[in-house]
Amino acid sequence: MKMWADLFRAGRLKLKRHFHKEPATFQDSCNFIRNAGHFDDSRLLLHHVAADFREMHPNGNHTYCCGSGGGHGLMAEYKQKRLATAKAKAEAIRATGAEVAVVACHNCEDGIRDGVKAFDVPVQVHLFSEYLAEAVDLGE
Amino acid sequence: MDLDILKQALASRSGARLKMWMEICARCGLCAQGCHFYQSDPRPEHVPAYRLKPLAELMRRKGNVDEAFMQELVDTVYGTCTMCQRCTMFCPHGISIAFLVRATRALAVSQGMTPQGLASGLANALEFGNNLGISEEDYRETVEWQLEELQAEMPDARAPMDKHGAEVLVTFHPRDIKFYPQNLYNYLKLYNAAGLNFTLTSSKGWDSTNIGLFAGDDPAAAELAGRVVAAGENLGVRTILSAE
Repeated sequence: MKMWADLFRAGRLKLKRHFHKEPATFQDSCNFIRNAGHFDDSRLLLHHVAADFREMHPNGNHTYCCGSGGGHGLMAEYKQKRLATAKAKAEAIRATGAEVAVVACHNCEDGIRDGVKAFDVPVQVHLFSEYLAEAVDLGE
Repeated sequence: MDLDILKQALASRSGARLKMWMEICARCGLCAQGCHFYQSDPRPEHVPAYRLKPLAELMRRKGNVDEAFMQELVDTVYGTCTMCQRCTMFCPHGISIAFLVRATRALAVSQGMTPQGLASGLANALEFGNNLGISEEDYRETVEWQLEELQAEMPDARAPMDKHGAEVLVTFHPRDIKFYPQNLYNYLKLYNAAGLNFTLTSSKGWDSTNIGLFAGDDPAAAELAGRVVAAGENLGVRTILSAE
């Protein structure tokens, strides 16, 4: 994410402004946002490519875990507990009214996908790389 | 159970930071509002401070515990915590409960009690170089296949393998290769579009995930991270990129 933001700032990675029209929100991951501090990098890119970006609450350093961190994506033995405790995040996503939840972490991708399914939140989950790659301006 | 190994593992983890945090936690419970387990399902065992209980008890008993105790410890520190560190932001002392949970996980590892899902992924990573057991041949073929797909959209696109002197080494999550090759396409598209001087590696360092880190298994975590670092050093890159 830092690399994409650096390349975008330097004018090397060209992205179509407001390419994505549908309301979108973003899962701030524990690793990339709370620990690595890439909040500003993420918002620079999101506000550029998303025409209707909606913050989840809480967000940034106060983000809730997707539920799949710390190895929970791999431990089938604790899956039911993981799904039950995805409620806080699922409701935060529902409250945004977003149709797309962008995630920048493979663990989060699973955690959010399972969580919104368990709590019937009508939202599609897309990786940040996919969201940006679709918006790349190849100058055609 | 090997109590000698357990006591050694406990001693090796009991540095000043761990001891200080274990002593100053007042069980005030302010951390509860920080935790998504508690917010979603408010039960006493979902209060983050509760996760220190097995370690506190183990320290009090100087490591003299039985297997039933250890199984309960495993269910607490693996089953009820994602080590997301949100609770630390609500703690008046700034105690890193995730740090203490991970230290406690290491005690379970010392007894071979890593939960099955993590243990098998970790074994795969150590044996095959990635946690899904993908062969080098399959990896190379997937890269070539996705590059061909991309070239239909970007004729000049490249995916250099083992290019010495590249600026950046691009690594992946194994599922990008095995289950979601479209992810690989997207990464290659972004880096080609930006004109980045990058390379991939055919060595085992292409998988930058680290299950050893989750498991609390330090030697395994160091081995896996070391492979990625070695791949970068051998190619002389300045930066190593992980998936997202």
